[in-house]
Parts: sequence; structure tokens; C-alpha cells
Amino acid sequence: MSKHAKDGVVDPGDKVDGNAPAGTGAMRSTTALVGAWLGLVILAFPGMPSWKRSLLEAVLILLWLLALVGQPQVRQFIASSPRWQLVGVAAVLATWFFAQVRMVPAHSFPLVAWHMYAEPRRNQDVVNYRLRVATCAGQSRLAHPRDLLGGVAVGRTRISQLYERLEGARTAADSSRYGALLDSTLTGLLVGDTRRRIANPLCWIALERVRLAAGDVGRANVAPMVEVVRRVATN
Amino acid sequence: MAILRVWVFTLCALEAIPPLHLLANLPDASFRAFGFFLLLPDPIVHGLLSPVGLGLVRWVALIAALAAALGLVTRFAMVLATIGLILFQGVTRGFTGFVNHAQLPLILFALVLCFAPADQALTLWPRRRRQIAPSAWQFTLVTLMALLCFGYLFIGAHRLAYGGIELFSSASLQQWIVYWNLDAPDLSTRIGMQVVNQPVLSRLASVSFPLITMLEVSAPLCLLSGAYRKFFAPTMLSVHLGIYLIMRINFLELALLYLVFIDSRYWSPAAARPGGDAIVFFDGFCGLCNRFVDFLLARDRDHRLWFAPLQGITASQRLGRLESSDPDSIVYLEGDHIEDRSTAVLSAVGRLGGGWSFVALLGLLPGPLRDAMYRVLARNRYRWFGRTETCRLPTEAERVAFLP
Repeated sequence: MSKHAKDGVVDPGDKVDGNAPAGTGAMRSTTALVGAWLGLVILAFPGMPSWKRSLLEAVLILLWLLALVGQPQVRQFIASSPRWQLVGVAAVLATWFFAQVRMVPAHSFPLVAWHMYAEPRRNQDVVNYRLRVATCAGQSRLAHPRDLLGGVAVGRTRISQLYERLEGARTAADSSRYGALLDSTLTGLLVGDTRRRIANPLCWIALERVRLAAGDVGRANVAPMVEVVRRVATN
Repeated sequence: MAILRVWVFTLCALEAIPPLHLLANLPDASFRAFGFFLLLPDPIVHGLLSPVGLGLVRWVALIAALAAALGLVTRFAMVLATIGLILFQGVTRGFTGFVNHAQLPLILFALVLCFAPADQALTLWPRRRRQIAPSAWQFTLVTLMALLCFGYLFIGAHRLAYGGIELFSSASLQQWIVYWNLDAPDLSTRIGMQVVNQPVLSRLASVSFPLITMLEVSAPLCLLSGAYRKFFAPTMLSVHLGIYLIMRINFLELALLYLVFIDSRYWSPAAARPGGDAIVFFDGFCGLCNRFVDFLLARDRDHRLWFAPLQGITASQRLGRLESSDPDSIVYLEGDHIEDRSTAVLSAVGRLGGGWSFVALLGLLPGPLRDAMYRVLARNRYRWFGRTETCRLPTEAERVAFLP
């Protein structure tokens, strides 16, 4: 076994046990892999967002898996691995693969689909959202959800995500309910921040929509349009 | 493996430090239940979303992760920390939506380590150290690296399948860069906007987009080639840094898990050791070396180490057969595995177990840097710490740990 294999990483230079029936092992591993892949693809098929694209994606992943399983040292490594842990990892990979080709964004969390920056934008205006807050002393500033809610995980939240989720609620419910939800969310952010900063409390919070026309992308000195979507003030 | 466990669960603890209770100010209706939340009874979900529930999730995740990192009831603590982290992240994502995947590999790593063999070396109060079959920890390391690589493969494969040529030939990347910078008070201060507005930089970004995608698709090659790992890890880390500067998207947790891409010999001397008796060979005339031996003897209550002077018979018999080592160096021999200079010192101290095991973390410093400092000390050891006239002879009490 090479030094890499000793350290937990298989190297192509590793020698394979000469007694192992390499051809049979390879055939068996490949058949098992393709069988499992096919089963998962069939299972995921009804929920695929676009069967052509999802299948292409699944095939790309399969090609890599075949390339890995095609390496004798990988097969040997798998054969010498603890059996029940191997089953556990296979289950994790299968669930993750299923979520990936079916584009499951949340339900199989933490094994969710990994897709980002994949759909081409076709000259759409660029729209984002931001929060503006003002203290009772009259100082106004932009706020990040991290400032209002605290937390690393929350800190990754862009206000656009929060807003787009509320937009989803608008389509699902009547507009008055949507407005109330938006107001209570903004109030929640305001209350949370006020509790943290008692000495310098906030007086209002506003959700702003920022838009840059598609034609203005790449042009210097073009200011985006800013419009207040909602504003909530303390009593 | 033990260092990796400490590393992963320390990161889990850092994730759980920020308070969650402010989320309770948001209306319940803004929480969108998904996945395992849908399987939980409503009262439990409501309890979780209350200030008390959110506080409980955070403290359980934090304390369990710290315990797992320190090696206190390791197996139980790891499982509890992983559940805590999944709940912590799940609640946050239920309220605020799915943002980026930086934390997901951390959860996956914790999940795998829950079921992987837990080396007892890095524990504050170790029980008798159990030997772990090399295949078991090799399997875990390969699995963790495979999970990271498959994450990248999935992103790249999805982009190629769904975006295709149209994605790479359009100005989509520039639009995303603008999108992620639009929340700034002053756009002109953002590096991303400079990139979009400068034609040369903008073209460079366009060209790099398909190249990054190909890099992502090729990630599983890291499992087969050490040379490719050496190329992939720094390149991809640079890409993440670039994305942070240009698009303000932070993949810190993922980047910190790149430890697994570094050959484990460099960060965990224990990983390369076959086990068996450990002998520390030292210069019997050197004041510093003798003080180091005294230091080890005083703390080696379980008699994990043997000591032998480099000038003695044992050294000539055991080291003579092996690859010659630096004559100015402490030498550490475990089985047929030999180490010298700073690595030998770290291994010998690490062998003491308990809190001393954490010294092995210094192995993360580059070997040449550690050895350079060691050489300065070794070269001046007689001048700074004195030289004895005769080779050290063990006292009656020490004789049990000394070899001739």
C-alpha cells in the first residue's frame, strides 16, 4: 500500500492483491453501482424538474462513480472497509444523489441538492432587497439580518431570501395576510434589535427593493433604483 | 483521526455560539417546516420555536460539541452534538430560508465521525487507549474527502447540465455579482462592482466561470491522485476567497474542512504510527535533552514511553537498522516508524495522552518551519543549556523506563 493509502487516500500506484479475482470483482462492483444508480434515477424520475437535464446530470455523476469503481485499488479499499460503515456511507450518498437529481432543496436536509448559479439569467433586471433601520435619534443605516438576529448561520441569510419566502406566502395566501406577515416579520426584527440595544433603540425599519436594469449592468456610475416596499415603526 | 474529531466538533461548537432566541421574535408563520420537522408532533415544533426551545437547542449543541471536541463521553457527545447542530441549522433555515451550503459539509463530517472509530488519544481523561485498525480510520478519512469532493461534483454537474453553453456565454455571472452587491450602501466601494464595471476584469470573470466549473467537476480526482490534491486544494481555496471578495459569499466552514485534503501525516503524527512500544532516543550528554526526558518521565505515569541514550547499545541496534537520522536530534521510534526533530518531540509529548495530546495540533505548522526552529535550538543546546561530562545514567526509580 502506498503512503497515500496509508493516510487514508487511495493512490493509482497502489498494488492490488494478486490473488483477488480482479475481473469478477470489477464486474460485480460495476453492476451493483449501475443497478443502484438506475434504481435511484427511476425512483427520482417523477419529481425531476427537467428529465433531460436531470438525466444528463445523473449521467455525469455516474461516469465519475464508474471511473472510481474502475480503479482496482478503490475496489480493494472498499472490500477491506468495515461493512456496516460502508452501508451507512452508501445510504448517505444514495439519499444525497436522489435529492440532487430531484433538486430537493430542503426536505432531505442536511442531504439536500447542491445547485448554484446554474440557470442562465436572460437579461433580467437585477433585483435585491435590503433593510434600512433608523434609531430614534434619527440616524439611518442599512442593516444586515446578522445585526438584527445575531448568529453565524443567520448571518448568511440575505434579506432577499427572507423576502422571497414571504413573496411565496403572498402567492399562497391572500394579500392582506401576506402584508400582515411581512409587517410582523419586520416588527420581529425591530423588537429583537431593540432588546439588544436598549441604549440606542431603533424607531423604524424599512424593507427596500433595489433594482438595477439589465442594460445598466457593467456601466459605471449608474445608481440603482431604490423603493421602499414596507416600513414599520415602533409605537 | 482524533485531531480531525477535535477540529470538526470545535467548528460545530463555534457554529452554536451565537444565540438563536432572537428568531423567536419572528412570527411563527414565517417558519416553514420541512423534512424532519414535518415528522415531529406540532407541540414539539412549537416548543422548539419558543425562546426556551431555541435556547435549549443552542446550549445542547454548544455543550455537546465542546464535550465531543474535548473527548468527554465522546461517542454520546458526538451524536448529541450532531443532532444539536442539525436542529440548530434546521431551525435557522426554516425561518430564514436556504442560503448557502457552507455549513452542510460540517454537518456531514460530524455525522460520519459519529459512526467512525473515535480515537481515544485526544481526551482530557483518557481510558485505556484502544488500538484502531488502520482500515477503519482510513475508511473514515476517505469518506470525508469523498463527501467534500462529491459536493463539488454535484455543483459542477448540475451547472453543466442545466446551464450549458448558454450560461457560460451570457452575462449571467456579472448579473449575479451585481445581485450580491446590491445591498451595499455604496456600490462603488464593492470589489465585485469594480470587476463588473471593468471590461478586462469582467472578461476574466467570464473566462474563469467555466474553468471553476470544470475544477468542481474534477474534484473526485482528488481521491485518486495526491498530485491533483496538491493542485486542487489551494486552487479551490483561492476560488472561495475570490468569491468572498467579489460576491461576499462566505464559505468559511467548508474552507476550514480542507484539513482533510492535507496528508494526515502532516497534521496527525498518530495517524502514521503503527502502534507498539515507543522509545525516545536522546543525547545523553545534553542538558536540554535530559530536561526534556525529566519532563516526560514526570508525566508518563502509565509508562507509555521508553527512554534510551543515542550513545547507547539500544540506539545502535534499533536505529542502526533503520534509516539514519539527524545525530543532533531527539529520535522517536514506535514499531518500525521513526521520527526525528520537532515531529519526534510532538509525538513523544502526544504519547503522554490526556491534555498533552493536544500538543499534536502543533503538527499543523509546516514541518520545515518547525524543524528550522528545532535546529536553532539543537545547534545551541550545549551553549544554552550546558553539557554533562558523562552520559546520563538513570536513577533507581527511573531504571524501569530506561533502556541501555
